[in-house]
Formats: sequence, C-alpha cells, structure tokens
Amino acid sequence: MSFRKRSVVLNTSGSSNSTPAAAASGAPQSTPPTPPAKGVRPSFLTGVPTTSTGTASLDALLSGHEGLPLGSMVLIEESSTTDFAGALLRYYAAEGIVQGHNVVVIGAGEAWGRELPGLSDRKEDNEDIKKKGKEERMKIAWRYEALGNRRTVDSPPSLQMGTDASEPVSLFCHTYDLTKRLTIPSSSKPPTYIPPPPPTSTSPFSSILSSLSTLLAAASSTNSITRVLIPNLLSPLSYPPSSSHPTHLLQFIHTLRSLTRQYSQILTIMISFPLPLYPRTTGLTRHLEHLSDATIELHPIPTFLARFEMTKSSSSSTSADDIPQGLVKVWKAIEGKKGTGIVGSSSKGDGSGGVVGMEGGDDLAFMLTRRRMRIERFSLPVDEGDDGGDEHKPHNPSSTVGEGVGGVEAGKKMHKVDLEF
Amino acid sequence: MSKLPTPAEILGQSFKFLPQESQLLLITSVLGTSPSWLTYTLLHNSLMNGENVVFVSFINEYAYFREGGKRHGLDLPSHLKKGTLTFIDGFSKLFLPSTPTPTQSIPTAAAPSRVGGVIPSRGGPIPPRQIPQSQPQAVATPTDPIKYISLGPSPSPTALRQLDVIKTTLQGLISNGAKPKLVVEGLEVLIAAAGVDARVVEDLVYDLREVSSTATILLPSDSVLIQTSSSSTPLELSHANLVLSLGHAADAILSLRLLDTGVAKDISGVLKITRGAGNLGETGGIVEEKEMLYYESDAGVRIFARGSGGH
Repeated sequence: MSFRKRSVVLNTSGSSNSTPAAAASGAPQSTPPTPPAKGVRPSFLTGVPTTSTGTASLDALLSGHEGLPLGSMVLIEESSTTDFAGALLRYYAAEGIVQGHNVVVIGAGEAWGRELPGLSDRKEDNEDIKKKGKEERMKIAWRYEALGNRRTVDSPPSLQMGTDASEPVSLFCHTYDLTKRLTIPSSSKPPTYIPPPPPTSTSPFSSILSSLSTLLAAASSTNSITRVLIPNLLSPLSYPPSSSHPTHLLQFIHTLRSLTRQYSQILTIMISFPLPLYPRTTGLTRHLEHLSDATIELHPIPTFLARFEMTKSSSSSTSADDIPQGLVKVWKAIEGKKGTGIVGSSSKGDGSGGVVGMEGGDDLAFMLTRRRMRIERFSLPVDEGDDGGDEHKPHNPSSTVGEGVGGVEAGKKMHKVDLEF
Repeated sequence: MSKLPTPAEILGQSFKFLPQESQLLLITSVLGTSPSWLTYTLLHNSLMNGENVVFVSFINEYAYFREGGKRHGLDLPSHLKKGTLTFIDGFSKLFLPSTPTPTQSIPTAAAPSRVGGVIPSRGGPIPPRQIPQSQPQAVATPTDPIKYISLGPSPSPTALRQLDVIKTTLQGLISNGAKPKLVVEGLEVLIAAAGVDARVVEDLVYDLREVSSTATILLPSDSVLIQTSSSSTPLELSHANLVLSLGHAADAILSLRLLDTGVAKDISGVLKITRGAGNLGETGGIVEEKEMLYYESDAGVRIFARGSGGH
C-alpha cells in the first residue's frame, strides 16, 4: 500500500515517463506495466527519468536524483590495482539485464559478462532491511517467481518482479550477490560485446563508435533503455598504445558525451578508469573528468583492507559489513540534469547529496562485501584496543590487493548455506 | 525561476567599462564548479539590452542551456526565434561524420568548398556585407536557428574551415555598426580532442574579437591543466598556453574555484575577478579586483563578500 501511495505522489510531481508505470500499479494487478518505464523512474530532484546504477547507495550519491539520469555518463576512477570499480560496473550491468535493458560492454570479452553478480534477494529493495529474518519471504518470492515465469511466458520483461502483489510492480534497484552468477532471464537480452580496438589500428575508437551508433540507432527506434559499460578504459591489456593518445581518447569521450545527449532518453554510460596508469595529475585524465557528467574516485586504503580481512577472518561476518575498504571521492557531481548548473543540490539535507561535487567534501567510504557494495559517510572509527596489533597482523599482500575478487571467493562457502532451502 | 546576480553586481564599478569594442572576458573554472550561471548572467544582461549574441559551445548542447536558462528565468528559445541569439553547436556533431538529416539543414557536401573560398584564417578585415551570401548555413535560418559545427571523425586542417561559421555568423549580425556579443565555451576541446594547435585557436579568438563587441571565453583552469613543468605533455602545455595567453589578452578574468578550506554547506565556491592585460585601462576604466563567495542553490545564485556569511 505504501508503495502505491508513493507512486501516486511521483505521478503528480509531473514526469511523463513514470505515468505508465504508476498508472499500471494502481490498476488491477493483472495488467503488467508498459515496458518503457521499467527500471526507470523520475528523479526525486528534477523529475527527469533516471535509472538505477544497481548499487542503491551509489544512486543515493547522485546529487539527490536518487538514480542515474538518462543521458549521462559516469566516470568511476580507481586509484589502486584493485577492482572495486569493476564490481560497481557489474552491478550496473546486472541491473540492466534484470530490468531488460540493452547492455553494451565495450572493450571486454564475454568472460567479463559471465561474472555478473546474481540477484541476491528479490525482496530486498531497501538496504535498510536486515537480511536476517527475511529468508522466509525470500523463499516465497522465489517460488512465486518460478510460478510467474510459467504463467506469463508471453508477457515479456515484466515477469522478473511484480510477482508478489504486496510489492511495487517493478523494483528500481535490485540487490546482488557477488558470489552468485547472474542467469540471464529469458525476457532479457544478453549483453552485447564490442571488442577492444585491434592493436594496429590508427584510429582505435572509430570501429567502436560506429558499432555503438548502430546499436543506439536501433535501440532508439524501439525506445529501449541502453546501458553502455567500458570497464578499464585504456587498460593496456585490451587497448593498443595508440588509444591513449589524447586526440583519440578525448575524441572518443567527447563523442560518447554527445551520444548521451543525442539519446538522452535511453542512454547511460559508465566507465571505469585505472588511475595508477593515468593519474589525476595528468591533463588527459582531467579532460576526461571535465567531459564526463560525474566523476567518482574509489580510493582503496590498504590498512582498511587489512582490517576488513581481519574482521572477516575472525568469523564475525556481520560486522565485516561495516568495515570500510576505502574512501570514495566525488570529484564532479552530476548536475541537475538538463542544465541547472547546480552542483550538489542542497535539497537533500542528508549531507551526501548536499556536498558532493566539491573537493575534499564529506568523507565517504565504500564497503564491498559478498552481498553488496555500499557507500556511506565515513568518520574515523574509534580504535578499540587494537593499537599495535594492527601492524603486526600477518597479511599476505595479494589477498589485500585482490580483495575485490578474493573476498568473494572466501565468502562463497558460507553463502551457499545461506541460500539453500 | 531562480535569481541570478546581475553582471553589475558581480563586476561592480568595472562593469560599466566592459561593454566596449573588442573586449575579451575570460571565465575560468575548475572541476566541480560550473560556470554556467555566469554565462546565463551575461546572456541575460545582453539579451535584455537587445544586443545580438552569438553563443558557441563545444561541450554542451542547446537543450542544456535552454533548460538551465529556463530555471534562471531566461527564455532562450524566444530569443533564438527573434534572432537576437544565435546558438552554434560545436558539440553534438563535432566528431560525427557530417550526415545531414532533415531536421538539420546543413548542406555539408557543399560547405567545405564554399567556405574554403571565403576566409583564410587570420586574414585581413573582411567586408561584412559579402558574408551572408557565402554563408553555408543560410538555408537553415528561420526553421533551425541552431548551427552545427562538424569537423568529422578525423579532423583535418581543411575541416577547421568549419569553424569559420562562427565568424560569418558574427559578421552577419553586425547592424548599424553595432557588433554582436560572443560567448564561447569549450575551446579546449579543439585543442585536446581535435588536436588543433593552440596558436590556431588563439588566432581564431583574435579573429572573432574583431567582429564582436565583448567576447567571453570560458575555459577550464584546473591547476593540472595550467601549471606546466618539464614533464608536461603537449596536451597540458598547449592548454596552458591558450589559457595564459588569453588571460594576458583579456580585459577582465572571472575565475571560479572551490573553497580552499574545504567544503561548506552554504558556499559553492569562490569567484575571483582580476584584471587582465587588456586594453581596458586605455578606455578609462579599471577593473576592480576582488574576491567573492558564491552559493548556488535551488533559489538561484547568490554572491557575497567573504565573512558576511551570505545572509
């Protein structure tokens, strides 16, 4: 009920895009919502259509929009050799697949796409809900979902959610579990892969752009939401040296930016970018940041990682959720889309929405557990008598560095038990 | 609608010296600050005074400014319709192959050859009257007042002729000797992404100043982009080159930066006004150098002196 009320409010707040969904949710349950609005809702701030990044706390960071406005490009920088940004991108891709959006992966092979996290829990819309005590509901939901699958084979993308009448017809942001692999629902399109440029090409990005424009032209004719992912842009593993030439790269990014504006009703782009190779003190990176709509840096901190490892190994897996692994810096906040020029609106009084976009703002930290990635406000924790002990803990560096992946592996066994029923 | 400070409020006494011939106003910003509101302020002032404005952007599309202007009570579409505002979009199709579509009536096939005969860059003064005829976008005027610049996927020196549309547009708007104003945003893209030599861009700016009254140039001025060292890349050097030389030529520089002391909830950043080495001094005025704080909110932009708390 409460959800329905909310959608009514959204409806009156004047977004054209939400109307079908809101109307449908108010209508008899048998009517599935019209596909265009799936996974899209109006911004809490300006009413422009937004879609979820697949990480609820990242959505909350986007200047009060509570979602990624369609027609924008986000740059996720990572200042370490870890792959936390990769996790964010995978959530973003997984969310797209679950919502039946087009997902286009540039410069990474299908192997990348096979690692997408699976849905952890259909009911867990809100991160506030504790996982404990929800297993019952989860089981029920899954059974219903299977039922729904059989029942509504012909009504495509809506069946993924909305099988339980008490839930809103479609969730905006799902919760994923890195230990599981996403099985692509029959209603969704598998990701499209655009290979990285061949090593010898003189204009490395032109082939990518031409295939992307073809895809987008097709997508816009059917009005299907498209997510473009570029994991590890310029990583020497997949990109030839010529691609990091400023004119090549910045032309590519500039064109991507213009594509987001051209297809502003369907397209979002998320790029991850390795800072160790291209530091923020270089003009190239700065130009890249200027051309993107939002720039977020993940800055893993080794001692944080160590503490995280320690807590996890000491079997209290619940508290591991609260140990940050690094800091999040928002260098450029997404604007009130469509040109307000206002960075970091103050309309959200919770701090995270109010001050992002300024250098050295409120400290934000991220926590990646097998369950989810969270970004929260961060204040230095009180050292609870572990002074001195911290430094002496034997940690093999590889586990620290490879935390993004290593933590996942470690948590796997325990997790299996969690989900068995 | 939200409130914007007027240029007179921003520039104080010096504002009355500004609307003069061939002046250059440089607006710089860093990552995390958006100079858009200054643009709207200037556009608003010029358009309300009935002046013609040519607005060029290489990093944003018209819809961005239309919506942003609307929030600040600036009705760009009506000015576009009236012809007082001309928007030149160097963003949407800059690196796309120029394929004319029914909505954008740019005769791209004919454009390069025709423009090619018109203006050698940095050429002498060209009689304004000959320009409208040779203007390639002439057909586009009433229905689509937005002009597009497309350099194509691999910009060549000849493709740079496309930039002449800015000059021809400016010249076409000269009426009774009154030159239009010019606002250019995103020139750094030409250097960084299109690989244009910084000197060519500077020449372009000088050319444009000849045919406009006040030219306003917006450029990013992050320290990594303008502080050069021996290890600087050509990219950084040429950007620094452009910003510094325009800074020296400018009559006034408005720079936006973030608060040095970190984030404050009711301050968006610092607006600093400095005089450049331009000719403003000769015309009797002097730019009053000062630094103010500004705060962008839903209610608009407020500028206030340091320490006054903004209340």
